[in-house]
Amino acid sequence: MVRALLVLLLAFEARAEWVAGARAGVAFPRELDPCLVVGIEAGRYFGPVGVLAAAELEQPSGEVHGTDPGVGAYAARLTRRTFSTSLRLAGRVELPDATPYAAVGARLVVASLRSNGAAGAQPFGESVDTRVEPAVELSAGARLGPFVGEFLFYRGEETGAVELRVGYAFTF
Amino acid sequence: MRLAPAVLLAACSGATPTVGAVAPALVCAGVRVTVTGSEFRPLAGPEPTLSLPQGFLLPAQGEPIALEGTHWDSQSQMSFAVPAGTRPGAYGVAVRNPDGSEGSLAAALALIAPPVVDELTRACGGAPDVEVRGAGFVFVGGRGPTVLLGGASYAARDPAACAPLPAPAQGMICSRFHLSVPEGVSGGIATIENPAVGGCAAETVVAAVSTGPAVSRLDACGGTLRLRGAGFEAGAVVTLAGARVGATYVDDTTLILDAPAPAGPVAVEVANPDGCHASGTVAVGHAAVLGVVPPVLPAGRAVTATVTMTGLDPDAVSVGGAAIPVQRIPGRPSLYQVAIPAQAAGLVAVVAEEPGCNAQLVVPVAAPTLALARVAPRWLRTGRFVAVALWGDGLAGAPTVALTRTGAGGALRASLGFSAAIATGIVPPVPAGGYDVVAVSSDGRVGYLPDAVRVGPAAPAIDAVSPGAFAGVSTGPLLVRGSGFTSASRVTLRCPDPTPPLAVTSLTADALRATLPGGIVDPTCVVRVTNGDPSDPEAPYAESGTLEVRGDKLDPFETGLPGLVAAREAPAMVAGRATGAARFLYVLGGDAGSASLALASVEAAPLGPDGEVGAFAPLRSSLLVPRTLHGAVRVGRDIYVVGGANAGGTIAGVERARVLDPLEAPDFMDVSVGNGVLAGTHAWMVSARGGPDGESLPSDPWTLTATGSITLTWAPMPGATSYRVYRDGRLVVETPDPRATDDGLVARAEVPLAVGALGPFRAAGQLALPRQAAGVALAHAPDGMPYIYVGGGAASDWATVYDGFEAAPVGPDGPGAFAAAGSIGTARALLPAFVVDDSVDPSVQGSYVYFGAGATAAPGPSVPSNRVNETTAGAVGAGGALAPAQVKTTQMAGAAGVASAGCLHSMGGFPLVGSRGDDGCLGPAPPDLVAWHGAGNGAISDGRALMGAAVERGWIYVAGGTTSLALQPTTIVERTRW
Repeated sequence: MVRALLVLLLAFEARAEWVAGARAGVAFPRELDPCLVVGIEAGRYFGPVGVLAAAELEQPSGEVHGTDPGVGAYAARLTRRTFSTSLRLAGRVELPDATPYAAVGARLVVASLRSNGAAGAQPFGESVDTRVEPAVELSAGARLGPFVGEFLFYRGEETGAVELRVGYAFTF
Repeated sequence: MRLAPAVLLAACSGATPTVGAVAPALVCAGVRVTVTGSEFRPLAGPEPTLSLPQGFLLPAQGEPIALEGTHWDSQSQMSFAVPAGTRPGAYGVAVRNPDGSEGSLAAALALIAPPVVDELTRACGGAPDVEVRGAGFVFVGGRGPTVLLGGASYAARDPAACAPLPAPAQGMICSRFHLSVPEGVSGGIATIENPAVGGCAAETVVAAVSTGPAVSRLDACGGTLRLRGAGFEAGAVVTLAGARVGATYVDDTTLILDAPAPAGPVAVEVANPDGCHASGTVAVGHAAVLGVVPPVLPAGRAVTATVTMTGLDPDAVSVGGAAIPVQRIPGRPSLYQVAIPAQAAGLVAVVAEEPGCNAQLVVPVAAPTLALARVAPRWLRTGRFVAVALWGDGLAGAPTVALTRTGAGGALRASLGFSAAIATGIVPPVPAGGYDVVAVSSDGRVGYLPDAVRVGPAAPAIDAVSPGAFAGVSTGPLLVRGSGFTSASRVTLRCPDPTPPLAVTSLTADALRATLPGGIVDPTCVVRVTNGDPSDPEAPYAESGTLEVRGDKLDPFETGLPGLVAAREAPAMVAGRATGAARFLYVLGGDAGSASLALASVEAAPLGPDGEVGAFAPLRSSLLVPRTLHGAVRVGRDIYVVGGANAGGTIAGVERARVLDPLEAPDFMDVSVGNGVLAGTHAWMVSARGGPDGESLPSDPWTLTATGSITLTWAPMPGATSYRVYRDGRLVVETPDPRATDDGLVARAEVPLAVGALGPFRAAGQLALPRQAAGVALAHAPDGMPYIYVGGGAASDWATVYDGFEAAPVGPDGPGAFAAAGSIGTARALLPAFVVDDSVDPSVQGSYVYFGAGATAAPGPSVPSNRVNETTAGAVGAGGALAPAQVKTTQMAGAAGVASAGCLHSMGGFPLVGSRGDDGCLGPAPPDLVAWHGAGNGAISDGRALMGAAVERGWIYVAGGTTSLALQPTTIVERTRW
């Protein structure tokens, strides 16, 4: 499998190009409010296939409501600050007006979840749970000029997200 | 998806919890403790999820033990359950927040085992001093355990053999103490409750309060004479019929005498070397194996059977040639449990043997041909009597049903066949584990159902569900009442496919509220409460009866049900429960066409698990006076009958009778066989007489194969003045003593009471005014006190019709004084009364009483033109206060009324317009009603009025009434789902 991939990359060496850029956009995480996401990305494309490294930062927040047998109904305010780095294997199709792509990779996530809620009149008090762990990720999206739309899923042991992102990419 | 390594780092930056105290600090396993401290901080997640701080027990050595049943009250208080099976000792307690920060308190909790009584020994000479030996007796601050024995409570004193309690508890834990118990208290079930210990009461069967040595019988077998008793010591001197005989000590219950067997009862004296002695006249028993339960063994199946043996006391029996150890049953010297391996079809001999003595009984083994389908509930809680229903075939009559697994088992009590397909009974407390079920029908067929029942400490139970019917498409509240609910309880619907767990909005150990999910299109559902993951097949659960998914209107009433024995106009009807599974409809009084033909008789019909109606049969108990146009309500087991009329005019009297409890019956203790002529296999039962409820229900039958006279003994019952012994269902002897000998006594005509019977009716107060055709209801005040409300009604000649109502609280000894309590609005009689509370609609808080439409004329042709179209209602306040005000009304008089699933249902009534019925449903602010509308298909099948009506577990029943204005009583019984 790896050998086949290397053969494929070498075949496209003639059409290889370096890419680097920065991105800023809006992420739409499930359960939490939309938030700003910023990041940088660099890598090399061998024709339609590329290997990309990225780092990004986001901090969504929001209010959740739920019921737990141990407390009854509760509400909580959450802020999840996530810094992550990833290494992706991407595939793209260069069309005249757009470049759709999909990627799979590994991600190292530093997630800090800040929670403060209450059940009835009893406040939970603020708790912060910080974790560093590996995750796998899947993404798919498209570039239209400098604009990027992307669907991202990643999942680790304790952390994970499903996000829809739209943003602007600066290519160096 | 899971990855490894799972988490590289988990860091915490929140406040660190501290543990300040644990209460109670001295507990037994399985109880809840409250932990107070600070910074107990839950962590919410975005899905949403909530991680609660977790509690741990910290043993002196070994791994922390996770506490269960986590409940977070505040940042400074949480509660947890100590896991069952945790070893006694001193423990620290730790709380770990979800962010990983942790606080603990050393020596925070002392865990002890429940007390156990091995022996009660009275000092020689019959003094009141009794020494109690056992383990786990706690003395704190000079207070020791409280012992409840024979209906009286005794305080412990003079502890001995003590050790300090584990820290942090202060006090001692001892294995001996003394009580002052009057002579005459001889044994029974002793309840021992330790002081200052959470959840540590225990029940122990005390065979007898030993008084040094005691003699019970002489066993003559194979030329050897054995003296049986208790407290014998090596070197005891025995005198038989005045002559000293040689005695060889076997153990503290048996001496072998060097003497020929006497021909009959003989005087015996035993003197221990310590000077204690006992004497008495004892019967001479013969060795015999008298019975086996189950009486037919299923071929190819191992069964733990209960074997009755007397005259010998072996450590093992031989079954089919294989020696099997026996397990003695405490307090039952002639009962043994024997784990019989699988046998081939045919006959097998159960042989008991002691040196020089043997006896045997041949037991049939048959291929299981009795189809058994299931038992409900499937999960039973340990340490409790639990009523169950069994589905199969051939179960009519009184089948013998037993639980069995290797080394444990027990026969169901109060076994009663509702039909060929359904039987009910009560599972006695049995050890935790999985059990198979063996059933033997009246005609000797045997059935076997593997893995039928699970018994465990975490099993929940459901008593009632509200609403009994719901609109499936929309969300709504659900209230489940029961026991054993924990923070691990999850609620799902089975329609029949399981829904995801419902959102739980509040939870206590005996009540659980959740939100119905909506979007259900199936016709029926059941509610399942699982203590654990609902998808885990091993998680204990309880299920409700069937809930119907429908709108406001009732389904069509079913006809063709068994009718009343006697046609009854204006009877009263209530539903009652002899056990949680044996439920009955009671139809009381009524008339045969007019008040002058009022009836005193009462009849009852059993109800099946799904509300099926069995055949009605007259009861032995009758009303003290004939009554018609009266009311009836039930409080617990007590049925109250209120007001009414008869040939003598209107009645002010109230009377009550109790639904008899099968567990309040004498228990057989022992049997012996003497010289005599009685032969064959017979079933004996015993009942007690003399209490306020008259004759008790009989004990469970004890089926024995007689080889001579049978002498039975049973545990005395408090308050009993005599006992009735029945053989094969017919009375053979009545005696004031707790023992009787049957050597072919002549059977008399009297038969024992059946499950479902009522005790005798007795006077229970007077109304302030005699009333007939009044609305009668039972509702609860905010403090839980039940009140009987009697509104409207008429005087004897119907010239006076009342606009007032009266009320009385109902305590354990009956109602207090009835007193005028207000107005129901316009004077009227022939009115139904309704009660709405959270059992009708879980969103309702408190109780509301409604007085429905009625009339000012006596039953008959003039009612339609004298109707009073008015409904008044009010909330029940403190002290039973009630101030009814007008709400929307219907137009019927003489209707039967019930409330269910958020609506009032007025059924039948005058005018007799076909199958009339009206439904009025609650508005958003009770007691307001949205409107009354015709019941449509949900009306009764035949137009009639003056019926009895009752609601029982999801079903509405109506019975009797009149089918014409000319007042023709009927026997018709109908039912529909809530």
